[in-house]
Amino acid sequence: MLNLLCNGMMIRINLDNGIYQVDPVSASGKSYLYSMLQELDREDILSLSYKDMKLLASKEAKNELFSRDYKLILIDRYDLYNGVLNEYLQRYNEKAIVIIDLKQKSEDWIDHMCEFNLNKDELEVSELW
Amino acid sequence: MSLELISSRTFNKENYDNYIFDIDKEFAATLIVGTQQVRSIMKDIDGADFVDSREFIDRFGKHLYIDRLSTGCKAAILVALKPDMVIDTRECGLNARDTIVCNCKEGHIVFYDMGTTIKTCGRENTSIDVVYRGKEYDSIDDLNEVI
Repeated sequence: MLNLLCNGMMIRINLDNGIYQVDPVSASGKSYLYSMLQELDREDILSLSYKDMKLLASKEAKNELFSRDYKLILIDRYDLYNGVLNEYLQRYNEKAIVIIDLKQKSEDWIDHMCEFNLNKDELEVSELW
Repeated sequence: MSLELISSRTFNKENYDNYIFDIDKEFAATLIVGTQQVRSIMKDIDGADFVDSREFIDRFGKHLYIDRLSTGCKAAILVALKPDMVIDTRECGLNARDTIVCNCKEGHIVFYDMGTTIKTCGRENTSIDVVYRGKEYDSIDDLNEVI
């Protein structure tokens, strides 16, 4: 569970540690959450989108980024990554809340689904199953 | 003209020089025109109202830059505005996928099996104009039987 406040918007992450795939619905607030987490710029929160992939071009860069401790990891637009972060994200399975925006099915390694509920002043993320 | 659904199982990008993979990047390079179709897509997927090529009003009444639309909505708008391009819909949620099929009567998309049938986007008797595996479909029910 994690509550964050960003520009008057309350973000409630009502999830236990684990890896969650977001319910495949457009306009639920995933990219919005990504932009807010970028704005918060906290060391214990990692948010990545496809445009950030240039930061992760080398294996060394990936190892360095995914050697740190995080409370929350959000991977936006993961359908475009071709699974290149799978082994790194698995490391955080029981250590952090990992939320992955992945529209296509991936039954291989994601255990849970979550959903976003976006209101005017609050974004809530909760477990679907 | 019809909307061509190209199955992701058989699609080979090497065969297309007009293929769009990165929706955000292409959207940023596109002049967004507020046609009736674009306005309808924005309303259906994001609950948004078009203002001009740079701005929209979101479902909570906030004025936002057009690049803040959802990726699924951007993909659908690209299908509408660039019917000569092949748009990859892997980033589209179910609602965006269904809106494309219901709204767009021409264009080309790479289509993914998401494990659920296409819905009518809240409209009764929605007619579609789709070509899938060489066959034309004007009914969602008929298309759902083969996807």
